[in-house]
Amino acid sequence: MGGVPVGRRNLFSDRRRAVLGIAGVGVALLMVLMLAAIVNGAMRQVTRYIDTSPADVFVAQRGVTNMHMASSAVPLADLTRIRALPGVAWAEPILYLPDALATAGGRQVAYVVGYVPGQPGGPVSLVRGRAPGPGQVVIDQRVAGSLGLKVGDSVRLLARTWRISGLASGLTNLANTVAFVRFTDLAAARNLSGITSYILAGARGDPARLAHRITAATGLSALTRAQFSAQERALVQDMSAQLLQIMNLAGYLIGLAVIALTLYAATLSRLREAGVMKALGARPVRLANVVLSQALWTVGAALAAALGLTFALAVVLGRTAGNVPVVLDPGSVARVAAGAIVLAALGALAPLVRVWRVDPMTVFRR
Amino acid sequence: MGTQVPVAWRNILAERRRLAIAVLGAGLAVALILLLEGLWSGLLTQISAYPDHVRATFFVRQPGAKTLSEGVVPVSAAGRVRAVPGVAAAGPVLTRWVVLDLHGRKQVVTVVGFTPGSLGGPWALAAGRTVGADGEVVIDRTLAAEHAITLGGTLGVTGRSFRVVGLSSGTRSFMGTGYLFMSLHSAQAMFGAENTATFVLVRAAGPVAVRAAIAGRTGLSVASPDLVAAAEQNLYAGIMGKIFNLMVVIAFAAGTLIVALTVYSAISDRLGEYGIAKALGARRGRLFRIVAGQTTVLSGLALIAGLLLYLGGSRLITALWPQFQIELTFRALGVVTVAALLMGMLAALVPTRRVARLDPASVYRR
Amino acid sequence: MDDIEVRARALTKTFGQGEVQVQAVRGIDLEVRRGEVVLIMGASGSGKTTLLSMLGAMLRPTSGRVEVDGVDLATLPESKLPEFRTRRFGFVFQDFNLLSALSAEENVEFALNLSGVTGRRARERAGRLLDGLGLAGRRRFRPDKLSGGEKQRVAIARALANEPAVILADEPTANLDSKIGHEIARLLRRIASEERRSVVIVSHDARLKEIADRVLWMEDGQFRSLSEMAADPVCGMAVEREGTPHYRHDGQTYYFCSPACRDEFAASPSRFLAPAAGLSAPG
Repeated sequence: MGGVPVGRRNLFSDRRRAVLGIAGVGVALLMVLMLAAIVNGAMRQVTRYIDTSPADVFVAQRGVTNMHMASSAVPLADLTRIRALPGVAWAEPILYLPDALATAGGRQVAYVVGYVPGQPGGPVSLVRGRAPGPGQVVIDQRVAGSLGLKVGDSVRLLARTWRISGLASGLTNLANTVAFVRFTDLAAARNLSGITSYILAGARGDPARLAHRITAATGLSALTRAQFSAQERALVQDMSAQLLQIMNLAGYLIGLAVIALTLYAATLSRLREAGVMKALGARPVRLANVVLSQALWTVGAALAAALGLTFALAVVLGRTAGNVPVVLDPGSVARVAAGAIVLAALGALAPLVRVWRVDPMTVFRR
Repeated sequence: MGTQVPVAWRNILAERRRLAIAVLGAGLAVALILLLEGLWSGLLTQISAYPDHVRATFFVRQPGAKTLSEGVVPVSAAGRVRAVPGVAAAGPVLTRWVVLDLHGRKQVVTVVGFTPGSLGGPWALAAGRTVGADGEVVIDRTLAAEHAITLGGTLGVTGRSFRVVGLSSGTRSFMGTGYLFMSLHSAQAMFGAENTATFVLVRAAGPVAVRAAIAGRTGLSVASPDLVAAAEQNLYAGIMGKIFNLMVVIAFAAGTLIVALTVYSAISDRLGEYGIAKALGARRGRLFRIVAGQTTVLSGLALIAGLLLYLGGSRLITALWPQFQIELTFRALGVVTVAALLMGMLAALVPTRRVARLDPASVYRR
Repeated sequence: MDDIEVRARALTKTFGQGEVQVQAVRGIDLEVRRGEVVLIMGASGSGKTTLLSMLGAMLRPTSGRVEVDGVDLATLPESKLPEFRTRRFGFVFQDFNLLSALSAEENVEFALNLSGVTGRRARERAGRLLDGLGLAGRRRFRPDKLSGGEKQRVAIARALANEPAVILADEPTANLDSKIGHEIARLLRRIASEERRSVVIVSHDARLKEIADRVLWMEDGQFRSLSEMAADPVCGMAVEREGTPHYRHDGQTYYFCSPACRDEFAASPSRFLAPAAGLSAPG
């Protein structure tokens, strides 16, 4: 543009006021961003096991498309049938049941995965120790930390005592954690025979076609890893959707109030100057620019501040609260940015009209 | 102090529109805090609905089990419990999480499989009757309404079809969970869990003695419903507590900033008067009190506005989304009153600084 | 091509309707030449400001015509007026009316932006204008850090930014002390003479008579014939000869705006009798 940035100058002429306004909007945007980041973080955690699995296809009981907060029971006989299908590189069963890790130091709800040792389904990488032998369990290092456990210690699970053989990472989230034991151990602990929860399969060729083939042959629910992961994310999303909507609305409304306040105060206290500009020959567009640029600068700075705070909070929460994964994704940032721009436009509306209506004759007022 | 309050009132009330926006904005923040507190109370109530309402004296379950869906007991345990003198009735119940797919949206429910005619079924029916046989379900009425599920209609659960014979009330939480009732056999078949249950519900007279007897005879743990309720609440408190607290803090910050911004603007517009006050010898303490007078007035108005907004808002929310339970507790009112007071104090800081640094002479330099 | 920059014919402005109708300006005729300084004096409420607004294309007359630089303002649509104002007029106000968040330089730049000059060109021109008015060292300062005289000079620089044909000044010296007021007055004179611009000043300030080519008295929306008016020797105001306080001294009758001025004069007449006080404009 090359012209004098009157709007920006006006906004920052009173630094304290500018900061208050920006902080106010920033806090509102922070709320929206934090919520998005928390939900996103939760989604990531919940799908961690699936996303890092070597399996191409996940097979579950008919009508079941989730692991988290779901129950699935598949007859082991189907395992044999699946192994015999063309396009199956391998197939292994996993048991998946909710329970709780308990020590004198505390308690943590956990999904217990029973897998066949040496086969896919167990922890993808261990940060410490080894895969579980008979009567042994691998837990996530974060939960180990919060319960004060290390490799070699004992922990109660499924009404039995297990020895910790190793620690995995990245499997603890807000709600629960994942622990690994041997398939046979888990089946025995729960008195299950001839049954598994899920079957993992590796595909020789296109996983999607294999999934179809499995369903056709067995009537079971079969999804590719990507599809299965998407289902898990959808679950987290659907569970939190309405609450999130309410909170977001509140956040945006508060942000709108602050913007309106900031702009209103700024334009009102400078109504005479708007008159001066008009008298000098400024056209409506130029006047609109002044107001709009103030609005955009305010939300822009607020968004930047909110983003910075979100990252900072993520680090702080990561260190202290531990199990609240806060991860911002570009999609959320884009959405909040768009929301912020809408806020700016809405908040600028009334002040804009006021400025447009200013009678340039006010410049003669004594 | 007598002459100061009118000054505070006059200043604030001078700009009606600005006052309105500020009261609305800060009021929103206050309303949000109330809403969060209300949701929290409501959530805790909803989550422990089953143990709170199911008419049972004890939950008999696997030692170490804490929350509702933890643990496994053989169905035969129910018989042993029934044999204990003082036990009026005992019924095995199987609970498992299941993800329902309703119109493309995922809904987690706790399937409650109980013996029709015995303990453990729905405690309040809005329509229809309780489960009488295999293949029947009772679903929460708000869930049914949301997805156009009618009495006599069918519901698909993990690939099986059930007939809806009753609609229950008070069986859903807004965190995306709820209870779905069916017969024990149906549940066992669905989960491949023949002969197992999660706990045995007991009705007995003379609780203390019977409790010891049951524990002794069966080797299982005996818990009062209060304990189970508390465990359910703790589980969620751990998960959601931090997030709620974070949101309350953010809302508080937003409210404070709005009040600060408004009072700051009001003061900036009348800097002359403060200059006079200073020239006449008003010291920092006095100035702070004048400023704090304004911020307190504003916070007070915000508190009232917040209450009204909350009452309207919570009614609107529960009308739109009946699964939301929002309870106004004295604690919440107390929290929000303290918050408003604090807001008033904190918000006075920045404007006071502005006035404190004011050079009385400079205000009149043209 | 004649020399007349501003031409007003039968200019009238009526405010309100029916019973509360007020005629602020009544049938005014005015011609201002290039390089001429016209001073319009009169009491508050005489309609001076309304007249100035109409001349400056800020107010539409109820009837009559205004022609500036050959252009009849009535032919311009509302949307074209702002641009016309930018390019044809320079405004100077009593309250300076600088944009408080901008530096002196930026205030002048802003006016240039309005006519399409931006960036470095605008900045350089603004700098030159300010330098020319003795404000070289004050370019970066915001209005709250400038003295009254400096602010008015910035306002004048702003008024000159787009090379206007006409400068319209509303009480340009009212908020300035005597010495500075003189300087500003002389500045306006120079602008008219050296740069051949028309300068129309509306003011109470009798000191401005010194620099004016013509002095017009406005009362109740009309120009009054100069010969009808007398000057109050104490405060300089133009007053009618009828019905006003007067005092005879040394064979001459003097007319005053108020009993206070008359009494002051009566206490010490020689104080107020300066040689060659008169109403007629310098030749």
